[in-house]
Amino acid sequence: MVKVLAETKALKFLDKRRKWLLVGALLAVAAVFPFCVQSSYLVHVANLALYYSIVAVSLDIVAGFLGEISFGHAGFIAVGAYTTTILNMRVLPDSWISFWIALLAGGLLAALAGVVVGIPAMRISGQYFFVVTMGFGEIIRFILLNWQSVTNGAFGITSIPSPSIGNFVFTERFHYYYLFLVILLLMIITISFLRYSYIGRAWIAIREDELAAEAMGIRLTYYKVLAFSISSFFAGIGGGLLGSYLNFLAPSNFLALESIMILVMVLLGGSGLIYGALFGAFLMTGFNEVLRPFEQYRMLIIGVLMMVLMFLKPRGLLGRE
Amino acid sequence: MFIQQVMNGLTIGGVYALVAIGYTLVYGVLGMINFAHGSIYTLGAYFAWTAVARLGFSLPLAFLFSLACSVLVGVIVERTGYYPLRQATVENQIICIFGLSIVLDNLIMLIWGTVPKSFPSDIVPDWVSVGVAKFSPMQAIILLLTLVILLVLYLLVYKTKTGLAMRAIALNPEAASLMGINIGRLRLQTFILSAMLAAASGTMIGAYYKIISYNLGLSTVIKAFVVSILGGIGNISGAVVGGLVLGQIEGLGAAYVSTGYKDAFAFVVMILVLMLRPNGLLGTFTREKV
Amino acid sequence: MNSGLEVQQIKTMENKETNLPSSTPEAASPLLLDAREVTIRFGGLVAVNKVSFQLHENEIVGLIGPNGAGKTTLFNAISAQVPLSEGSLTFRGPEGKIDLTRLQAHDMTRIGIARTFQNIRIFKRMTVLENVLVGGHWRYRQPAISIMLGQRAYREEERKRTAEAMELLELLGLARYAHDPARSLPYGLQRRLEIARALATRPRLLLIDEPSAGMNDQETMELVDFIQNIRRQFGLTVFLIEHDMKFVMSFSQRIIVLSSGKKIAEGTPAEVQRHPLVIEAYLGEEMDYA
Repeated sequence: MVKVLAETKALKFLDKRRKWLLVGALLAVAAVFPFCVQSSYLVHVANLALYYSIVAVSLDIVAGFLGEISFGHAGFIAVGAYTTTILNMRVLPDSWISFWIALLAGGLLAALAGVVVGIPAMRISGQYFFVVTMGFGEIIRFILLNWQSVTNGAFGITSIPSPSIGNFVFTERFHYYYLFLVILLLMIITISFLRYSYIGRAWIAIREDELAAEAMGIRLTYYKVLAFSISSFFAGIGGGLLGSYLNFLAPSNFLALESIMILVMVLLGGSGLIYGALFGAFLMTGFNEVLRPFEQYRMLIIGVLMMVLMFLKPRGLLGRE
Repeated sequence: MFIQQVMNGLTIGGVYALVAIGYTLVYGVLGMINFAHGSIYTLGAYFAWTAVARLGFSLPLAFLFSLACSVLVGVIVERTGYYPLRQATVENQIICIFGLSIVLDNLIMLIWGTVPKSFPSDIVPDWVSVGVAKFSPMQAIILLLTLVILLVLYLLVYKTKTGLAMRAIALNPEAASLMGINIGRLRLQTFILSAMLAAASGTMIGAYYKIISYNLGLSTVIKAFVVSILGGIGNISGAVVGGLVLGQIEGLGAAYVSTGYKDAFAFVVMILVLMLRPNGLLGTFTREKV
Repeated sequence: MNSGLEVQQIKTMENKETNLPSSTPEAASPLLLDAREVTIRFGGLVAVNKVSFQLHENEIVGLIGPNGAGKTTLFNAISAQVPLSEGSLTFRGPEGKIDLTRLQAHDMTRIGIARTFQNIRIFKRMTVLENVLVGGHWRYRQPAISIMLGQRAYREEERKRTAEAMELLELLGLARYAHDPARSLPYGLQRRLEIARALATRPRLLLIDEPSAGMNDQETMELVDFIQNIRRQFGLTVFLIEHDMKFVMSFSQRIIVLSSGKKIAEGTPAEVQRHPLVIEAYLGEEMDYA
């Protein structure tokens, strides 16, 4: 008996070590990636993948931990993107620090939007929830389209300046690559802390059984709204970064389809795992690029892929039963 | 002007009601979110367009043609995207069905192209003047047809054995299967009915606006959600009320507030309803039992 | 740790004591829960009808009655998961009397009431340890921001809670499953885990809903021992629903009998067993099944 126990413990240790080895290897690859590839296009694809990782991992808090399907993530990204850009370009003084303040403000405003949407949405769940979130995303888009004096409507905001730190300006694609990477890593660390704290356990308890969670002293609405606002905060940060990277923002960047794509990334990799969302984001981004020559068939293939995946790997590619 | 807007809202609202009934029936009986509903609706419109513009059918014949095709579509869609996942989690169902609707939308795009198709405009005269009032034959036809379909639906759901089985399953799936209801067949029947409703609505809206495009699906299915939430999910008479309400809100909102926000009204209304009357305008809501 | 030994010791003590008469004089220990004229209606249905009773500290009281007698509803009312229609529920909390009807379900752990459910509701996709940690949820003090920044104060708190949870698991003989997913436990251990999770809230009143459901006689007797042990060890008041008469008689000090929402008898097992109304209620049920 003891021997069996010891053996399983040893195995677990090995497992853990292997996991850290994998993480280390991935980090090492990520650190040198822009210098290993010659093409600027590949760095651009990596940047997109990193951006999608940020927003997919942030969605994982709601979709994975809390187990609520949100179809409005693009709305929160849009709030962050527009807030950051407008504050930086038109409101705050012309200084390198303005962008970073604006970015934080964009995240906070997105978080506030999360609370505002979350309170009514969280009193209900399931089907209602995902329609409300989708509705929110669409309302945001309509506001962006129609509030022309601020957002410039469908034409969008162009020539968004690049961020800088002191005299260093993020101009090249590989500059952004490191910016995205650092922010993604910081976010993953923060979210992992949360996941393995009483807050993360409260989220998962709610996902598993709301009634029992409540009986264990978990305030349902509070923890749901908390999840929603933290998730939106990071989505907003992702949006702020996206605007400055693309130098361009328009409502068409934030269609309902975009929200759904991000959700698919999370579920594709496996929800509630963090690394699942990460994997899904990279896979989907890569897929989108590979299929670019077959633009006509791209969405068709993605649709078929989604169906096949749900038949064969319902918990996502990395998910465990 | 105001009367005209109300009439417009009524016409559209009636069709919304049909779309939402199709959506909500599937939710009630299959217990699954019917995301592909909007795509089937679009498909129905394209079938009708093909019948009129390519095969030279008259409009009533095209309508029937579209219904017939939608039966086939219903069978295929239910058996590929819905039936295999009947035991899966809600997340899985949503993703699979959403994938399916992407497939359908893109098939439509590949077959009929990205350029919107216009219905021949001489099928039914736009306006007929009766004294001072202008009167639209097309609106009259749609309203009448909607009423007929609602009546047939009522008889089907409340006066036939199949309808009884549908309602029984919606109330309690386990008990219903114990009562000897063949659930697999009933699911298929319900789905076909829902597909026919979608195709009928698609055809009517296509003929009404005279223009259709491949990407109508998403906004349609969103409206079906909203309407069914207004009426309480799974509630047929609620869907009728919800459809009419949404039709009026959109029509009047677009006329008197702003056309830019036309599609957003639906959501604003829905969120208000969910906050104030989370059970829908007519619906009932029960909390999970311990 | 020698806690395994401790359990062993208690077990032998317990075995000695089971043959002794086990009724405690009610006046000896202070009042813990006072229920007066508790009435719960669902629409027109009266699920619980003017039920009054008292629980004292360190008591073990059984709540029995035929199916549909309102036992679980009464439990739900005590744990604030169902609102009272009439009557009062007063709990003697750490700082004086508390009106339970003014609290919400999530306040219960804070004042010292914890419960289990009839159809085991553990968090299946969490580990055993995490399940127990959730029980300690309400005692965490550090805010979210402290966690996100990885501050030492939070890590300290987490370490302390984890140590406590491990200690509890060890005490209850679940320690070696600590890192297994909860759903992988066999049924009997899942019951135990649910009780362990409730114990982790450090309750003074533990409500256990039909622990013997789905268990054979052997498992049931083991569970009785288990519950007796923890009651002694943690100085708990246990209020326990049971459907199985013979089982509840074996260890309750006092028994309350509900039938059709009304309290029909209360007393020691021997008294209750002889009560004509109880015999009638149970006879009636037996006949229903026959």
